[in-house]
Amino acid sequence: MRILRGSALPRAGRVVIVAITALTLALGVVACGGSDTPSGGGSGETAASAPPARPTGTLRVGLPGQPQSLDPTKIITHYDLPVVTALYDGLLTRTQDNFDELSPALATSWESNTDATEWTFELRRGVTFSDGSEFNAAAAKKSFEYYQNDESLWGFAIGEIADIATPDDSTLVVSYDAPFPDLASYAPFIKMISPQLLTGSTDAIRKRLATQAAGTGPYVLDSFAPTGRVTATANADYWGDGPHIERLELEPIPEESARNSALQAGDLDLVLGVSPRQAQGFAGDPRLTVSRTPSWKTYTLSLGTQTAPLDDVRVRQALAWAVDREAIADSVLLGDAEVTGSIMPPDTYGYSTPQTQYTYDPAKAKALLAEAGVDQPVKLSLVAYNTVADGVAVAQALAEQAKAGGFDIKVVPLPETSAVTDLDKAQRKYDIHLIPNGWINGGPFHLAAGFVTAHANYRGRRLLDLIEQMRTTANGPEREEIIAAAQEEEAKELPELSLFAIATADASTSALKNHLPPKDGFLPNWTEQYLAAE
Amino acid sequence: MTRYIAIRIGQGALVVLGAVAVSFLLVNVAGDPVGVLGGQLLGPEEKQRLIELYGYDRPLSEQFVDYIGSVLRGDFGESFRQPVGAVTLVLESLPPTIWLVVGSVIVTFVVSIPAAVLSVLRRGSKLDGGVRGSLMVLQGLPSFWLGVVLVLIFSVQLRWLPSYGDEDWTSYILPIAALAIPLMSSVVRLLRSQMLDIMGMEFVTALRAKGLSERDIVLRHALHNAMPPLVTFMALQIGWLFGGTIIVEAVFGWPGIGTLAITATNNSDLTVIQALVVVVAVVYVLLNLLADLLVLAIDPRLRAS
Repeated sequence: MRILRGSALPRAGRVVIVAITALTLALGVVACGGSDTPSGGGSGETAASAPPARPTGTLRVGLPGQPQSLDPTKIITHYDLPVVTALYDGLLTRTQDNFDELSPALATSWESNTDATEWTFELRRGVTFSDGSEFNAAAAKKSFEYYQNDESLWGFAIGEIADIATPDDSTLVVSYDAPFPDLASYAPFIKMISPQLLTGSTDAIRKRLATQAAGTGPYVLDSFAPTGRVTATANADYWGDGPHIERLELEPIPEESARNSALQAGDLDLVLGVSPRQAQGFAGDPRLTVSRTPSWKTYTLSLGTQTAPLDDVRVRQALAWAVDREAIADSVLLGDAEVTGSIMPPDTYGYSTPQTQYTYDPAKAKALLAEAGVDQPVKLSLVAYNTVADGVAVAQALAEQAKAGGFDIKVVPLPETSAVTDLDKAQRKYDIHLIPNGWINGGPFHLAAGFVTAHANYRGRRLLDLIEQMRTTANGPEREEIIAAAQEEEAKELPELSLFAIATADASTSALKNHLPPKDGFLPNWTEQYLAAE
Repeated sequence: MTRYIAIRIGQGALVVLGAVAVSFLLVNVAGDPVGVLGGQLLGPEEKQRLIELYGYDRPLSEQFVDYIGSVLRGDFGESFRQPVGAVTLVLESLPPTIWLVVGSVIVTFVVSIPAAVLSVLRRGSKLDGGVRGSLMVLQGLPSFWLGVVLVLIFSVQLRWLPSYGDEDWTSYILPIAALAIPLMSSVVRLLRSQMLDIMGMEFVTALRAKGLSERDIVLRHALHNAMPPLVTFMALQIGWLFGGTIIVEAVFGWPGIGTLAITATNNSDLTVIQALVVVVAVVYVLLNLLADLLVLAIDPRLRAS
């Protein structure tokens, strides 16, 4: 909390935290998968057929919720971002077959100076927005400036910019007073918006962008209704390869069973995010394909560190010894979750396995509780968000296991938006929150942004100092050491107890080829998939 | 009669006022509206700025009076999550739900009245037994379960009908069936028992003595006399239908107020929830009033009294 409110994060950044807390990074919503490699309709079948010569067919996509706006700075949910990603591009992107690395998009190259206080992007030439205006350095600058607006939820992604320069038409230089090493990794989320839409007051722009869109993305908006579907047509002037599908129809269907029935009935072609159990149910249907990607998502327990008895680190550690994560991964998440020793998911920048590890050892848990001098069983409340797939089942299994370790945990299922207002407080109403974390930039996102410590209201100086250092050190061996040290300290101090890394699974008709869920859980690549001829 | 209508309008206004009060209290019961709006990491100054901006620092009574003024102007403010007026969202979502409710009522009447008439005309026959047996089974089926089963059979297996949305008239079949089937059984039972009661009355004996056929007596007299209680019953069911649509809309991905209510609740979109509570109360009161007027129209005894 101290760090988040300190000087490093702009006001907009603080608003973000809220949003992230509140709305979405809870995207973990749809956990599944867990194999080491992507699988499903995408990868395996690509070689067998090829995309059509021109965009063909209509892809009807089931979204887990009603998109709230088309303003790229105002949306942050797993059902808003896939829509905006079809309409807008960022300077950089991630491709399905090489998701771990950044790829050029509207910037053809990028670099920072050694201390990451200055980022230079060489911009692609000859690109136009869907309203006909030209994409150039001035347009990119205008988009960055709009991302600095007071109500932007993505202030954290652009940092506290000191200056934006445009030395020529195709060069953008973003400067900072303090190092900001993560700008490139956030770039896929920073969308370039037509300058024609960015005229007038911020309020006027915000109102306009809520329902209109003009980007350079693979699709051009046809219609958007605040209580209905979004439709878009392939961008005939798209600068890159694709798209291969002529029309997108994005249908908000909040109820999971309704989405899945619609897919089985042939009324939808693709459902973003299916739970492990549902994915298993689809396995026997030859008309359907489940595509899985091990993702940058984790389930963790955020522990209220300012409230007894969890204010004692020994009690937090006892809880870690009292949980059999392997068993829950096998029985509840059907073996698809990967137990990880770090707060970060594998395959992210800076990931390392801490030496401090906890396995299932109820006797050790009890001994630690005895050492801490607390009465057993230790009574705790555990909130599970009802929007998180299998969250309540995971919480219940966990509560049952922890009994042997001297805990009596009461599970409280709550809507996410109400529950998250309890996070960050010094005196929480609920001791533990089961939260999904999406590490969206493939790096130390939740650690560096301070969410891990802020949610738990953790105040240990060493970890907070490490986080401050990681936020202001350029990528390289030094930063990797800092991130490793922070993971080690986090594992010892446990403001959050990592449970497992999970993966996303999308289900589609077998006619959809070359589709994979994105590792970040938010930005499907709409340029690569295609519909095979019947 | 005018006095009766005036009393009913007055009662309706009280119900709406109650709904307005409840919707106002929702914001305070929810705890911290600014917290919901902006999250817990807002600094104290920013929080205070929002509290003052939205006027949450004023006495409750003052806020309530202002709120009633806003409600009368139809202004609930913007949605917390979308840059659209809360009332606009509700009014956009209302027609699909109303069509669903109206469709269910029509289908219920169209199926139930002939079934009840047949059952009375052939009372004691196998047909009557069949109708009554089916009713017992159908009445126990909850709409959400029925909806899921209908989707599995007609959408997933047979692929005859769409499983979600309100694209064209075929989309209406399954959700209307899910809402109407449980209601039909109640209506047939009510109509059948009402008509059987009437068939035992003295005036019916007189009609028989005059040589009218059973068919004429049932269709012209028994059915006509059984209608007022049926209309009153249906008016009471409208509340149930609106409640039922929330579940049925979820099952069928129907873009009505049920889906909006679920989305708004999940997003803690308080202004939309407030607008929903008040608008649904107004619609409910209006439909009940309409039913009262219908009863007056078809029952001359009430008009006389």
